[in-house]
Amino acid sequence: MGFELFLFLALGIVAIGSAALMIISKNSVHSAMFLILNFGCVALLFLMLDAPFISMVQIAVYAGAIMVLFLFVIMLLGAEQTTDTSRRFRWVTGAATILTASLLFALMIPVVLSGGIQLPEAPGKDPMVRVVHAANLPGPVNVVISGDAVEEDVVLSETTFGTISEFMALPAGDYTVTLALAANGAPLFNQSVTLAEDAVVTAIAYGEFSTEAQTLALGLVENSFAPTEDGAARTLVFNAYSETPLMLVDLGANRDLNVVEGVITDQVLVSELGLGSVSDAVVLDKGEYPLAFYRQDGAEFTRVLSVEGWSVEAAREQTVIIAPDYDAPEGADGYRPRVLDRNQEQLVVPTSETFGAPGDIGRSLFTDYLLPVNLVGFLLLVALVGVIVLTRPQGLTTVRRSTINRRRKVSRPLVSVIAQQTGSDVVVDTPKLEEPTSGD
Amino acid sequence: MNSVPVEAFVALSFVLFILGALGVLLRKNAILIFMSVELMLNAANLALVAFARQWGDLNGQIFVFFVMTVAAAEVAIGLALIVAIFRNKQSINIDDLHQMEG
Repeated sequence: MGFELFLFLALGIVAIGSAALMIISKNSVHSAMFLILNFGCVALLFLMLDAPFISMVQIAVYAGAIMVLFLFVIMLLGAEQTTDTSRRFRWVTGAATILTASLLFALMIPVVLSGGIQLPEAPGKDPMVRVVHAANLPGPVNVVISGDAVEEDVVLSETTFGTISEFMALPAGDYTVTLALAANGAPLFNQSVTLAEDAVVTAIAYGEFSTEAQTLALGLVENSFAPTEDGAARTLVFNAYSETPLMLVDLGANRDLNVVEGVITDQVLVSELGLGSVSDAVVLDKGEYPLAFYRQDGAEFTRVLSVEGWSVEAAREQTVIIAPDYDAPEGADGYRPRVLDRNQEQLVVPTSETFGAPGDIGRSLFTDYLLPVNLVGFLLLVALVGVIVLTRPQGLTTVRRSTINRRRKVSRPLVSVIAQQTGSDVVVDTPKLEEPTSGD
Repeated sequence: MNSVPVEAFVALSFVLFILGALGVLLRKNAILIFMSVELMLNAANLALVAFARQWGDLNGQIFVFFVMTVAAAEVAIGLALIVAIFRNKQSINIDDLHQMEG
């Protein structure tokens, strides 16, 4: 039995027990206390159900404000002890109770018979996709994502080398990614991509497109926003640079590769990373790392690119793309390598879950639910006025001050004034003369 | 986070709702009847939040928020009514309030 199930059972038993005790308590104050206990248990159950904000509101508003109001009224009226004076209609209540309870349990029978509530699986979220331009192309290109699931094609126009688009949410389905020259619209390349629900995909266009070489390709990296353990960061490395396998090494304190008898003693984070392939997720704690890319050619290791002070932030997912720097002029041994967008602003996605958090609920309340929020506020105002009217001594009748003043000026017999003040008729006994006995 | 099935939460809210309904029917103290109504509202809230998690949809939680607000207004008005009745009748026993009896 898992800890969570145990917690649920314990809270459920306390909640049901306190509710039952609330009903059978003879003293109203005890009932109110048991109800507070019940509300507390339900607040903890809300916490288990990913609803921290509702849970805190439950404690503050229900167990706090409303129950204080109840206790205040109980004390004010002195109504602690229940007074079941008349027992005339007891059998009616008994019958109604049995009828209602059996009706409610009868509602439960089909649920039990069908083996639980048949809920469909929670629907998946729309897939997210972003496009990275890491290719050598004759000019700026338009990236067009078209498919049956979207009515209008998604177009990223005038994309140049090194551009990393924002994540875009698209409906799940089959898509075609087309790269076309922005200048004349000539299509250079297209590839079909299937986006499943919940998928987060980085599509990387790499390679060259020129008269002598047409190696353009589209690499797909499966990202994930799932949180990591202990807030560690995940790093995925994509090789768009070299045909020889690359490796990523944590150089350590001496800032150089330590090789003892052909075996690297430094920590190798990624190895054997071929062209157009993506590494497994490397989990790194927060901090700065001296990292370097090495070309792995048999037993020979040549340094490709070193990154001093590679900073890793907590609870992030980072996609690192090493690509030839097509912006810089070509050297004697080809283009120099470059890591795309190392400032991480667009590559890094926070991996925190915000379901049920106050920020999300507040945003929803003040955007989608602005009218209901205003109506509820108005309802509270009406309730406030209603309470004031209801608890006035004179009730709903309006007493005009002018009529009171006018009445005061009218002189009335003292007896009627006394009668009005005391609220009862003044009985005036007129003395009666004793009837004379008939004397003869 | 899904080791407790949603059915368990719904069953618990069902039991709490029945207990609240029993309280409304059995007790004669107006304040206690009122507290039982609050218990029923709370049971409904529990079911709403459970289904909100099952569907991964925040709207269920927002609806709970509105239910809580309306419940607060309802409590204020109801307790004011009880105070007003007590002032007239010197009792909050519902058996004493039988003006509407045929």
